[in-house]
Amino acid sequence: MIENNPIKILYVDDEETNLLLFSLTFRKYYKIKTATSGIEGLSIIESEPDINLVITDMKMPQMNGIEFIEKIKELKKDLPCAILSGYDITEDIEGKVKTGFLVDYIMKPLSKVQIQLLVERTIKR
Amino acid sequence: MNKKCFHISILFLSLILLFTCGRTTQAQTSSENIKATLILQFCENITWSKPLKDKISIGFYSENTALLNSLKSVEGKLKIQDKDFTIKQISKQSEMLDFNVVYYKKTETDLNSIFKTAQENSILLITDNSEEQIFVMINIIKVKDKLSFKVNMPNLTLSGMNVKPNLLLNGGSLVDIKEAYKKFENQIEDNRLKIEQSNENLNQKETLLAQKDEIIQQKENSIEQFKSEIDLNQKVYQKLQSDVLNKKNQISIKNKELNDKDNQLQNISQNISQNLLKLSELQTNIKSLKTESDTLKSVVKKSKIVLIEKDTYIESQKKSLYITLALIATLLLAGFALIRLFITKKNHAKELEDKVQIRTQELQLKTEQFLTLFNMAPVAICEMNFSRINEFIQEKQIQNAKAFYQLAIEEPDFLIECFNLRIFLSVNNAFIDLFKISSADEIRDLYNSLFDEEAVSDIINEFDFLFLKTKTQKKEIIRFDKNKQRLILQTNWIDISELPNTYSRILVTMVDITQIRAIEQELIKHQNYLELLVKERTSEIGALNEELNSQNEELYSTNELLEKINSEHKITNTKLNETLQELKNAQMNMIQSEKMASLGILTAGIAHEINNPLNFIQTGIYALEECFKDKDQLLENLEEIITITQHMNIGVTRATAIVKSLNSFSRRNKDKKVVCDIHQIIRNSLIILNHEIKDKCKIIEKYEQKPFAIEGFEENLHQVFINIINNSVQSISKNGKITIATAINESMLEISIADNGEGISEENLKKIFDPFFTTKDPGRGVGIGLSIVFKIIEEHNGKIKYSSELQKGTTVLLTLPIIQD
Repeated sequence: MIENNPIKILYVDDEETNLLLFSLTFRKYYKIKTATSGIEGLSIIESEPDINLVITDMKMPQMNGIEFIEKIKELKKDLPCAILSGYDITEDIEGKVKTGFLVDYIMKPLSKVQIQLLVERTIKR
Repeated sequence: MNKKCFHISILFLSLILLFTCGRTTQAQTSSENIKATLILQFCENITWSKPLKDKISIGFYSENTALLNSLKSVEGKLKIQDKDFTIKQISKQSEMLDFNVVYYKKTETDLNSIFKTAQENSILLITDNSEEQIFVMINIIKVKDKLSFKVNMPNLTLSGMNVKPNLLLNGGSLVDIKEAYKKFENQIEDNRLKIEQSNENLNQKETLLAQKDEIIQQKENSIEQFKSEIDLNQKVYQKLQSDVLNKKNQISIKNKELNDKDNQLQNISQNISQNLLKLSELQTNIKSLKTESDTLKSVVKKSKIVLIEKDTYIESQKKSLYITLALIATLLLAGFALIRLFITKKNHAKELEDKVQIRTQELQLKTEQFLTLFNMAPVAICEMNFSRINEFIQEKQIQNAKAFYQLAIEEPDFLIECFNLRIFLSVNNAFIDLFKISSADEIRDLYNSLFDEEAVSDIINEFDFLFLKTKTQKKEIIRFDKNKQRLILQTNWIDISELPNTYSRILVTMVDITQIRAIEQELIKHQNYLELLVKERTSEIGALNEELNSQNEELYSTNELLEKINSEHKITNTKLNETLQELKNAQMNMIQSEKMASLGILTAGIAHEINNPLNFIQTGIYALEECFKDKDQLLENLEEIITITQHMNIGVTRATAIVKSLNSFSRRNKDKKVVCDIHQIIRNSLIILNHEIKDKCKIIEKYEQKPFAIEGFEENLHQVFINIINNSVQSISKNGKITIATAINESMLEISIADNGEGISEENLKKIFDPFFTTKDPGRGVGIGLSIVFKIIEEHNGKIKYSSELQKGTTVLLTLPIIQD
């Protein structure tokens, strides 16, 4: 439930349906901000400083997920980022999770429990 | 006052009339008349609440006919309340309702119900001497022989009738309601007490009844028990009855038997009696016989003595008889024997004579046969007697052939003696012919000359038979015939002398085997000659054989060489086959890996393409769960729920589009050409490659609007477009654009696919359709995609052309024939 200090999550995906349904699912637990592209996401991160977690899709036009997260790290290197994608995990991405570049890589279709665990883990840090 | 006078006058008038009219029964009639006047007076002085009709109707509910008559006598003459009145007899309570006034005096019927009816229907009820005080209106009573009446005012008022005050002037009084009700209450009290008592009695009686019921139950149970016992007894009784019946039957049977037996007994007794009679008769007979027997016994005794004497005499005679008889018998026997002997001897002699005759005849026959055989035999036979020679030898004590031989050599005369001692018994014709002599006699003289004087051994072998233990001998001898021809003879010497070791009769058979021998000799010669020839020939053949063998060895060696060459050829053949198979396999593998590469792309794409719709549905479900958690706000959330379900539907439709495009990509009718919708095929290919396209480039579609149809293999056409579009996508790195356009040109459909990727160099443009030509890294595609596309377009009688400029882009132009109607 939303307490005095709600957890703010930014979710970026080029499919608007995903954004809508994600926010409807989690709005009672966290404060959800959405964006349809990396550029829009970056502007939201600059304007709102209290975002606790960024979750992004992999395949987007113009800027893919990895590029987007690299750009975020330039702005705020401590902001936890995770990828939610329909593609299978690759070695490259596994390495990125190990180094801490990515907090987690979650596969679609979405699992509510996984998202909640991810949030718990990131907030505890 | 006037009315009063009027009323009184009417009363007096009525009284007078009544007196004058009815005089016969004065005592009665007087009271009846008074009653009648009273009744009339009552009617006069009562007012009904309802207006009366023209006539007042009075009902007479009583058996008192005198009163009725008196009343009827004034009917029509008097008036009540200025109205005429009628009187009628009532027989039933129900008839009451027709009347205004009812006079009632009955012993049987219920006053209460009549009163009720009267009260309800506003009928004046006049009762006569009723004991009841409450359920009356006007009650006529007798007080000390005087007729009076009591009026129950409340009842009348309740009934809707009013009483005129003049009524009481007629001599009545009001009913004391209080007292009446008190009485009534007391009555009720008494009745209640009575009822209570009776209830108590009833209860007692009920308890008694219950007890009695119990007793009855018990008795009933006992009765049932008894009944059951009775049943049992009945059954037993029945059984016994049946037993009795059986016994009776048995008894009857036995009786019958007894009767039979009685009859039998009677018969037997009769028989016995008969027999007894017979017995008695017999007894008398016996007695008589006894006396006779006694007499006879004495006679017998006497005769016995005589007999004994005679016996002894006979016995003595017997002995002498026996002796004589024996003698006679022996004599007879001897005579018989002699005679028999004689006869038999005669017979025997006869038989013997006959036999002898027969035998002699036989002998004769046999000797004749023998002689004929002997003479006619084809073999030369002679019979000789050597007995004298044998004796001679034994005299000389020569024991074996060796000694004889020695002696013969040493003493030539010995042999001559032996020859002289030999006796010829007989010779046959064959013998004569053999030695070419004329007769048997001549042999005796000639035989000795038939020997070769030189060959002593030859001569000796004539006699060696004598030294053998056997009775037969076979030997070969050499003699000369009369013409001095040398004869070689196979002889068989048989001793047939009667006494053994006498050599009195020796049978010698001779077979001329000189010719046979000569022929043998010649054969041997010939054989030898042939053998020589054979040897020569065999040596020749041996030489030839060796030549052939050497040739054979040469041939074998050449054969081995040829086989070696053959096997080498086979090996090379198999190797060629293997390499061919390997090449084929390699080709298949390459096609397969190309397919796999494209399949890999496809499956990755499809997995991702289906994952997204699944995500829509899954997150939709979560969102819906959140909405349904808050039941109060369900209606407010309704719009949200609808949008969520719409988005979920989008996911479903997208997934189905993917699956449909896949299905059309892998159609079953791979072998047949079917009518294809090229635009749909292009769209399907775009869907299948969607995930590759969506983040890299934009697709612009410009399709021909006029309707047309292409005939082809659906799966292959899909493959064409997937390959070409995939190549375009792969040539783009970022922010690409692919334009797909279709247009009809005469009888062909022109399809162009243009991209703004990196382009193809001029040299490579020549090679793009070559199999295994690829600019990709190894493992990312074999390079047979476009060669397959080229083949498929050829199959469809179409053309494909590539044009490109480096860094600017590539354009593919396909032409396919359209189906003409």
